[in-house]
Amino acid sequence: MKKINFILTTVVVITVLFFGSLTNSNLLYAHDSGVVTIQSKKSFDDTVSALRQLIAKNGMMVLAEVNHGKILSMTGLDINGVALFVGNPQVGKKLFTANRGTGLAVPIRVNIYEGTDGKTYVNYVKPSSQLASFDSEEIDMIGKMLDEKLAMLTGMISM
Amino acid sequence: MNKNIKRIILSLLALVAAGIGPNLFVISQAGYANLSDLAVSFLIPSIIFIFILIGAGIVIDEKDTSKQILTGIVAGLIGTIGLEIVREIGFHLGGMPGDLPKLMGVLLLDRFALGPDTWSNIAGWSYHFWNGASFGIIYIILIGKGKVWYGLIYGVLLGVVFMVSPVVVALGVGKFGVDFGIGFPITVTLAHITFGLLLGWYIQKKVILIYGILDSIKNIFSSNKK
Repeated sequence: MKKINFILTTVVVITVLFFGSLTNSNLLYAHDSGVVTIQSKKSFDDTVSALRQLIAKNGMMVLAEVNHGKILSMTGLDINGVALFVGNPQVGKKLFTANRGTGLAVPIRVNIYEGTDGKTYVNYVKPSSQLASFDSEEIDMIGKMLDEKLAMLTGMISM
Repeated sequence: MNKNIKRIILSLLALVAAGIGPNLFVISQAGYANLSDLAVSFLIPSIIFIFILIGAGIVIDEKDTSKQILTGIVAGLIGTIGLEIVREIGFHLGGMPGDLPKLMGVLLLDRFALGPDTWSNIAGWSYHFWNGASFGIIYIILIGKGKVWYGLIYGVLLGVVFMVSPVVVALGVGKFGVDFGIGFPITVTLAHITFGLLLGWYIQKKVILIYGILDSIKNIFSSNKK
């Protein structure tokens, strides 16, 4: 009986460790995927409006937006969340000239949301991470330039 | 022209025009076209056409048919008020996956990504009420005065058809809302029963022409025999 218990315990421990390691590797992958999250010092509405202005002042445009909060209000869920699709026609021209598949990564999605703690956050996936798979030096350079631009823009609302 | 034939033509045209509005939402949710485009090409013209038919009925001395169509519209609007009360209660109790008139509004104004606003809500509610009015026209033309319980059966049928339609499939809740919960079929059925009862009751009270279009067609054949 003791032997069976020992075997069962060993199996359970190994299983837990195995799935635990998988979960851990997913977490690392999430970090490696280039997600950047910044806490805003402003309220949700002020963050959205400040970001819009910063984007416009820094040579970029909000090409489209998805208002998650309003869409989900139709299901009865009350949240604050907006995704801005940010781009620049000239940068887009360069990217699409280099590779027409880059539409997968641009315009860049900048997500603004109110967390369950009531604080406002901005997150996005680094453009360089999204563009890395295209295996082109020119695209990589544009990706890094966009990383810097986004870091600068979002940095300004966290101050 | 035979009075019966005039009535049949007017009624058939109204029947076709009334069928357009409710089906546009189904067509769009099945992925065949954008609701905002369909609204411009078909919904608005069909609404205008129905009111032209009402006017034409008065001009060609078919006032009873005009009144009948108008009564169908009013009955449908009254029925939709009842349906909406039940649906809103069901929605707030978690019996519905979403707020359909609001969804209709954002689809009509092609602003799904931005979510609903006052104008989209007005558009969505108006469309939902027009659908109710359309079903009122269809009922009164097909059935005529009928009986209140005819309305109940009609309402249940509409609810069942809705629950197997592409609208429900697109909402991701499965036919009859099996993937959502029992609250969905209960809310939908109760809402449509309320619609049907109010519709049947109002038409029973107000209707001028006792018979529906099928009776008019029968009358033509019986008068020909004589």
